[in-house]
Amino acid sequence: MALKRTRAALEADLQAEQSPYAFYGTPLPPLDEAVRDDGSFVPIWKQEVRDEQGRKRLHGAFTGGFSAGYFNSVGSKEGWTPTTFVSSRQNRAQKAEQKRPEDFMDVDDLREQEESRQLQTADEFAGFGSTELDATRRAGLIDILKTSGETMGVKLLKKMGWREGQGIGPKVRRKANLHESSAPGGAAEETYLFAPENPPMVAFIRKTDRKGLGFEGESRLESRNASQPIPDAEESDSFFGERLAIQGKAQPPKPKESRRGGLGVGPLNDTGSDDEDPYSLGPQISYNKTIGGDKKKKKKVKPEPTIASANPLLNSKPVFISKKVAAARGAGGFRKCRDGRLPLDGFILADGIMGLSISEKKYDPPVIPEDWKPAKEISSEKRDQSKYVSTADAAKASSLNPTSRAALLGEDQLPGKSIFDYMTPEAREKIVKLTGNANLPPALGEKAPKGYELPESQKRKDLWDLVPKLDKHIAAQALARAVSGWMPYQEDEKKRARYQTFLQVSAGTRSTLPERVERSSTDEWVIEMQEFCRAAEVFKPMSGVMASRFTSSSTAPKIVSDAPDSAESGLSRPAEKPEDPAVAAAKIGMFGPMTRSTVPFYPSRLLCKRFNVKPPDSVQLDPGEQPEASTSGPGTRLQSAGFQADTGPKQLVSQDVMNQLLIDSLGYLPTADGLDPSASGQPANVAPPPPPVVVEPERNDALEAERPGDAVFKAIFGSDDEDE
Amino acid sequence: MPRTIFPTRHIHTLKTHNGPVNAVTFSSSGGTYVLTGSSDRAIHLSRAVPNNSNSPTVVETTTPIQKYEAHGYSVLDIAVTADNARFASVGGDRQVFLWDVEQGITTKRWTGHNSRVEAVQFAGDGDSVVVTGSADTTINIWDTRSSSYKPIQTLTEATDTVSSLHAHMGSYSIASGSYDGRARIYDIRTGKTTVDVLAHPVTSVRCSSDGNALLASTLDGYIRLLDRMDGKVLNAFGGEKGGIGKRHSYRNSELRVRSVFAMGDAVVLSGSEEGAAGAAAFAWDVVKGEVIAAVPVGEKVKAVSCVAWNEGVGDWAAGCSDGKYLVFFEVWDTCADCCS
Repeated sequence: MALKRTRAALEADLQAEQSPYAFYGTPLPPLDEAVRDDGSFVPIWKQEVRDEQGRKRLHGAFTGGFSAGYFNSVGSKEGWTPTTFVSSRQNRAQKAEQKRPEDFMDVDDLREQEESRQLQTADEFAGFGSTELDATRRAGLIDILKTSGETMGVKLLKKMGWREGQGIGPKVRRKANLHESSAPGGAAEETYLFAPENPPMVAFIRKTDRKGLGFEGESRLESRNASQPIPDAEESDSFFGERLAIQGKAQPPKPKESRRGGLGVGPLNDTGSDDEDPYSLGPQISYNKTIGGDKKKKKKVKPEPTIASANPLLNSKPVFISKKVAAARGAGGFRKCRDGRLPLDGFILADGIMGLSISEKKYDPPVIPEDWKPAKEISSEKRDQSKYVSTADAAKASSLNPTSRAALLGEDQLPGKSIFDYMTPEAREKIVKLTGNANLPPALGEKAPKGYELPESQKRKDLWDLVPKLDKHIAAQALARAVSGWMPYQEDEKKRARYQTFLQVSAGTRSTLPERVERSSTDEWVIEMQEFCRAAEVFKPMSGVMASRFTSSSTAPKIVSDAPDSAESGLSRPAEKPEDPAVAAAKIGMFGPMTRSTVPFYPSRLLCKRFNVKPPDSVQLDPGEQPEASTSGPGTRLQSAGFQADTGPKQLVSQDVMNQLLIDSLGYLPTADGLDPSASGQPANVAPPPPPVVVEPERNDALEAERPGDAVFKAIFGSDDEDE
Repeated sequence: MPRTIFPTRHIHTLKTHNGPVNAVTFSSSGGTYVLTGSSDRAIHLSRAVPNNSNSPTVVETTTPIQKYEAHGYSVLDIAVTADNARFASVGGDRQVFLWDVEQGITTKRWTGHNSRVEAVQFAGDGDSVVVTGSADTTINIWDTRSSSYKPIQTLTEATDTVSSLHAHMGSYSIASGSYDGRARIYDIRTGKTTVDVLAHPVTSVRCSSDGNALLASTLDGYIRLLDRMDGKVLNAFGGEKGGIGKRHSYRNSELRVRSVFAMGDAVVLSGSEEGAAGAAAFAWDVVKGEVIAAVPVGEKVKAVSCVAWNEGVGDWAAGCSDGKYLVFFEVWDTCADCCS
């Protein structure tokens, strides 16, 4: 569409069109920059959707979409805030924070909870001297102060041996109270120590009710049962009866025996009586349901002084005694004892005189005359305090030793001896050094007493145990090395000998104990052997290629690499090589046989050739020199074939054979130079220096020697064909 | 005795070297020339007696006839063949060189030692082998005739530096002295090695011309003449004998000082370390053991390290270890005709 204007042109026109009626001046700008009121076309992407409050209704996908939350409440104060995304890969095990019940409570719930809170003590607390069953006391503040568990006092008592149910105090000797029924027989005369009986606890019962003093209420009613002896142990409830009864305490009221049954009561159990409720639970406390029903019975029972109340005043409370009774008492003189018998003659019951004032009468101690002086004087007053010496000080100041004390006391001397008697002076020195106490008894170094001496075999065995174990293999190797000259301790002949012995022992070629230095202790001996052990490890031969790289030096270069410093490894370092006797002789000028030695020398054949001398007998045929050797005459070949390769007896034999052959063939023994270099058989070491040989290059004696007979060659080579 | 007076007149001084002279050798027959090896790595060939030797004053020479320069380290020993055609030199570069005297080049180089080579000698029939002793405690015997780069034989008996060698062809033996305090004589003909313990490092060995005696210098300050038969000491030179009443005394305690026979084995000639008044060369009568001459070489000289006797003419040379110059002492005897 060619007529379509561009947007820029449209915008430009807008300005003109907005105020079409402004003929003069500058037209006012539109009310809103973004809003045109001209109703011109706006593309969709430029339009904005707003609600009636002017809020944007359309959002980008990341700001809530079309209508995020409840009508765009997202992000606002009331609105929902999306939780930031938390990657579970990073915070895998993190749990959501623990919710409390309060988090889900509203205000009313919270208030109720606050009200329900009360300050309470735990049930474990109880008051002094009270039982926890006493509910009336529990509210008291004093309950807080004491636990009802095991108190510290109880713990202490238990530690001292007290047990629950026992009384406190020294043990009492009495007869065994086995059972009342067992009549005191002859054996019952034996007495034993028993813990004292536990005295009943004095309990002051607070009067909280409005009943009269001494009113016992229901307990009076039950005393009927308590006063009567229990006819049978079976009769008491096996759960609540006998076991609950505490010794020495008043028997609690026995519950009335109730019918027992299983769970529920069947019609068979029904006895037909209605007054018994079969479903009544718990210990049936039988009340007197009929007032006065028991009164007659009650009166029959003689009231006995209760012992539950230990108040002595209870005993002396005014009791009405009828004249008759009093007369009877007075006439009879005595009340009966508890066992129903009369007191012994001349005695009255203590009860009777309790009311008298005898017990209250006190006798004052006698008055001491003023001028009285005690016959005995307290010696401590006379003692001078400054001269007081404690027993410990006195003991210290005493110069007596146990022996002299024993002598003073007239005791026999003990046969035992001090350990120092058996110690060597060195060992004592050691102890002195260690302890810093120089005041030790002298060491006598005695032998062990008879009977305690170690048997010789045991001693040997102990010594063998001291010998350090060296591998047999290593020892043998070190020995082999020693033979070839690798030996430590070259500066000390004796030590070397000991070392060798040790190696032999370790290698198993010797069964005696390794030698030790004279007058040396076992310790030194063991230390030395350990040193040998290390030395053997060090000096054991290297194998193969390594060994061939080292030559054993006989003199000067002090190669100490294989023998480290003695201070470091305990190895005695062969710093000074053992003086070779030859060197020693040379140093003192004794040149001659002492300094002269001869060793074999094997010049190569080429060297001999260059020197133009016949190679010595000892020189082996060098394979590389074969062509040159073969150029020599037959005499040389003979040498190379027969003589030079062999030495010793074999050579002699072959020489004999040779001579025999020569004699056989020629009839005489030729003495050609080329044939008998070794025929003379003279010892090699004598070897007088040969006379100077005039070397004539043109003539060679060896080559031009008289040729041996053909028989020789025949004998050797077997065929004439090979003869040149 | 044809001659009894030891020549002591100083007739020639050579100052050709820039360093200590370690080796001095006369040419073989006649001794017209002298070869000197120095720590300046060069070998110089000079005339032993200057042309105008009749002048009464000491002649000084500063330029050699020929310089042989191939060594990388100091030259420690030189040996000349009997025909004067070749000479061998060894040095601190562990090399053994065989030189052609005329061309001034090396004809053979042997590299088999692992350490400094201290001594070299020709040996064998027609000087066919070269024997070298090294600080690697071995003696190598090289073949001059083959092109092998390996030694003919290696002698490993020594346990320390082999400091000196002397091959005596009359007895087919090679004598060696080592710092392990032993003088070893390898007898090739009998296949035996004779070991003489001297207890002190040996700095010089020399066989007498008849092969019956061995002269050995050791660092205890003695030169001993050993009987090769049984190892007994025939005579000892040095020690206190040289110092009594004398201005100079023979000392040898730390340097390699060479000694030789002189005047037909009638005199022992040796260098010496610095004494009270400088170093000197000493001569002893072999039989009597007395010092017959002590020739000072100068105040500044620390040692006379090597001496050489020229039997043909009857003169001798001394190489000084410390000074930069080589000193020649050469004396014509009163009668020049009595040279042996």
